[in-house]
Amino acid sequence: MFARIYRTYGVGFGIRAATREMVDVMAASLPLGAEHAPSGAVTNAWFSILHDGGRGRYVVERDGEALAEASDLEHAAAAFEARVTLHVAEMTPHFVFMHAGVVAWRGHLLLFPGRSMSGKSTLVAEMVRAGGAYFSDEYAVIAPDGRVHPYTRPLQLRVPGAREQVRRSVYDIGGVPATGALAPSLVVLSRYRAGATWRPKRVSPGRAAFELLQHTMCAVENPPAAMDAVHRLAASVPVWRGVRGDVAQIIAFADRELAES
Amino acid sequence: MLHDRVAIPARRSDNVIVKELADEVLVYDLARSRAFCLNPTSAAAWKACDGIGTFADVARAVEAAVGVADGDVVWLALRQLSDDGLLVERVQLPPAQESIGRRELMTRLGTGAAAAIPFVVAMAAPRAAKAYMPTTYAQK
Repeated sequence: MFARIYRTYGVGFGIRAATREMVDVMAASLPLGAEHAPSGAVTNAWFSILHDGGRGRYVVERDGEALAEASDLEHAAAAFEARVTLHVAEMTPHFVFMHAGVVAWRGHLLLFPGRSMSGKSTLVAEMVRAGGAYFSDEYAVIAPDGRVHPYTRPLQLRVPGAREQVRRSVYDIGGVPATGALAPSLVVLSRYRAGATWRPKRVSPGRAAFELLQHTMCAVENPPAAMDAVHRLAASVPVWRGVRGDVAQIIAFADRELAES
Repeated sequence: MLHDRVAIPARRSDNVIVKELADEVLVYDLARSRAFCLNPTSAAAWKACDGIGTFADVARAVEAAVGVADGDVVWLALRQLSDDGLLVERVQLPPAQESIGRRELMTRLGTGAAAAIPFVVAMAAPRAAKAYMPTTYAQK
């Protein structure tokens, strides 16, 4: 077995596989900021990709528990990347990860919390094309002081008519990545429906914190940090909820709200 | 009234994280990994459950907070808090209060008082993996 240890956001984890090629593929699929750690470093978990030659499948495991399987190494690596990033997001002691698209718009930070496949990436991509700075299409990385740090992974965008998503760097879509942390100015809870008219309602702070908790990755592993983060955010930032259609409506709404704040 | 002097159990303080936001309360039950959002009426009732006061004390606190003086509203709040495990023990409800629901109260009080109807939203704390459904590979 070939093995290496990495560390990012204060979380140590190991990767191992039967061949150097497979470990190299795993090493190319790590969460942002992962750095190689010494061989004796503390790890929270060991991730493996195993090849089941009999079934012709690749199996992604964590500490011996099968998490996902795929028909080829490329898809297994994608599964591994997703799982190890989830692990880091849950376990990091230094930040609170929230499932959200994040864009800096005219100097203000906008958060769009939502589950995977809720259209966050498309929304973020459109706002970046319109001039916003790209923070993330998947995670708001919230520091203890409430500021959000960029997590500028390649955007995962849906291709019309295709089942799988494609990765695009922010430069590929004509945008720029953010480089510094910002305090949030506006939170928008929304789901997409083609042709919808954006008529949002303001969410009360208590209900906003409750809704945000549903998107907070460490809610089970680190409830005090999760509660602190959602409390601070809901107490200081207006939260709106509605059904969105065209991104232009969201942009117009953001411009109005930010001008009045 | 007959039930004014009924002792009301205290709110839980062990194994919970409590955050107050304006007139609402967010409670995280560490023992069961569940979170609750209490609207202003339920929040006022919960905060008044100090283990010493009576039903009348809780009712006065609710009236002061939301301007509604209605015993059924207070009993409904206490029943919800009790059912959700947010009190140290179950509240002893008068038989007539075991079945009164929000809809009945709203009909009786009118839509103008809808905001005063006690309301507790609950959820199991989300497991990160459940919220993530990548589609670029076959998931086990």
